[in-house]
Amino acid sequence: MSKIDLAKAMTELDEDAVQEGVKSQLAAGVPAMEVLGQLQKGMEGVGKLYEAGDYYLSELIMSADVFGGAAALLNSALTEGGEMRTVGTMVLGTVKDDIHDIGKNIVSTILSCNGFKVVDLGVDVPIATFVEAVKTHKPQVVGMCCLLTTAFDIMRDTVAAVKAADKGAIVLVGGGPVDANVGKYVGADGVCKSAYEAVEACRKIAGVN
Amino acid sequence: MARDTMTAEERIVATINLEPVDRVVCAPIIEQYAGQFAGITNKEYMWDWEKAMQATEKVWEAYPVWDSNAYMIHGRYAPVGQKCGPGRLRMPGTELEDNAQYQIIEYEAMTRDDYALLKEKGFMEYRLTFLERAHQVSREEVTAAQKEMARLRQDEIDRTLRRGQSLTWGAIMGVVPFDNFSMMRSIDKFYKDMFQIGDLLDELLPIVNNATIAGCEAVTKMLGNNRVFVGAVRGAGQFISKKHFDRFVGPFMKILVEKLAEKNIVPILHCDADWTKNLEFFLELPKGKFVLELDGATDIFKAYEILKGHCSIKGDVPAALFTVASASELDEYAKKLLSTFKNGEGFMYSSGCNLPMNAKHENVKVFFDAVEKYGRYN
Repeated sequence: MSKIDLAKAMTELDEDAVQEGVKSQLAAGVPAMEVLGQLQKGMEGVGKLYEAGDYYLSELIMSADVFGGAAALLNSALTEGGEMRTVGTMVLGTVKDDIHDIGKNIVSTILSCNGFKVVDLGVDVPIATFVEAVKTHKPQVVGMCCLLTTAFDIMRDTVAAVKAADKGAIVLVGGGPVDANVGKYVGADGVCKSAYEAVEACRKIAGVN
Repeated sequence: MARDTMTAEERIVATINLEPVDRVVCAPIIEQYAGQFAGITNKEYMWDWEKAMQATEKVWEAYPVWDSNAYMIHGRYAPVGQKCGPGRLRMPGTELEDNAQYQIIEYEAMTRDDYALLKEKGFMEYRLTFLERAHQVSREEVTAAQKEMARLRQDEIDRTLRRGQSLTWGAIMGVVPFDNFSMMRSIDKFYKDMFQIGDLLDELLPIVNNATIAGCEAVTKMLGNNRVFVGAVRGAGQFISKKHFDRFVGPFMKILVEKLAEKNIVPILHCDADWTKNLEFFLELPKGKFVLELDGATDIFKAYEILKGHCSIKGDVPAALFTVASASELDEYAKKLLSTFKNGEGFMYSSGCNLPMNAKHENVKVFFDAVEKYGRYN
């Protein structure tokens, strides 16, 4: 079996070592779920380094890429072994009239890598679509993004509609100009200034240690 | 009330040189807010040049204390912006509703394979290829739009000077090399390039930097104004580590500012996002030879502590204070800003990046009123 410490290689963003480690472990008959667990442990390490200020957004993006490449190798093995376990669900989208997707996509990717099921509604999402998704998927968290200051009002209306549809809904907001003032204005439960803040907030809400 | 004893040009030059002035330079980026102030739709503002210019004039008539025009609409104005603007643009009245804000769509218009093309053809030539691809137009359409943009820029300059305002910058020279690649490749793809093909970037970033420096020289000579806008966002300490900053961003910013200083060209480093972790770096750039423009994300008060007496700082009333806060909250922030920076310390009072299109009019009034209330020195 491979001597590669998969979690460590993942945390250190060593793409080649991660690929090699996954392949050799699968070849040696290690269950896919166990390999996935090591990768997720590595992602936790990435999160800790981000929290400590040693890793940045660029490292988060790179980690998602390395994780995604490794997870692709596991795909068929995971399907054979049953459905992947998730730690929580987030409904996520950029609010109506705003078509920016970069920040939203990063949040979606990083959350997925950290074990969350993300129902990504895309950009320019109508209020009714958010409401419908909340009813259908019953997420622990609803995430809304915007980059335009002109989208603050629609974000406020979307938060209100979601909360009217589900009184217990927890809504996190984020995006370039979204600060604490804006969070208060739109009636959100929290503001995330980075993808990792979103992960931390979601873990807390979902009760994940 | 005391009166201005300096011209707008004298005031901005003195500010950059860290010398005393009669009152603070007031240089918000007005852009799309002007249309809303004048009561026209953003479709009219973005598609009808004369209406856009008249709207800008109305803002100045209402607030003549606005003495420095940080102008940029000539590069975004829909008929040219959709052919040679910084990226693919969606416009009100066509792709968007009539009074919507224009939006830039970023995607991987430049592939990783294109680095070889850039190396072979040079940056300026590759840039044209990128613009053709991003806007899905022909080379002829790109170059015709660039000529038209230059004509519109001259019109903005003429109108600005007729009003007695200074030009905050003569021309917009795009962004630092790191951001140039990031915007063409798209942010996530380029961050991965940084990890996976860093050696190639080491080779190519100087090519882009040299082209930017040459472009600054040419345009300042042509316009007779020695100030240029150079943007920087994605290399900020908010997004990348110091190790990467020291390799891919800092050295090129330093060379750029130093080379321009040798030619008496002053870059306005328009640094959006949070650069708080990089503030010490700006001490390495030549004293009094650049302006650091902040958008509200960087801690401007920390910037003051570190860079006081080293460079002019422009900023930074945040978008939220214009849009969702009360007028008194904006007044409080403006007071703090204008009383922190003292006369002779190089402060330019401004919105953090663009003044939001949906700014509350009463908050904008308070923004301008603060100049006399807290920024008058004589």
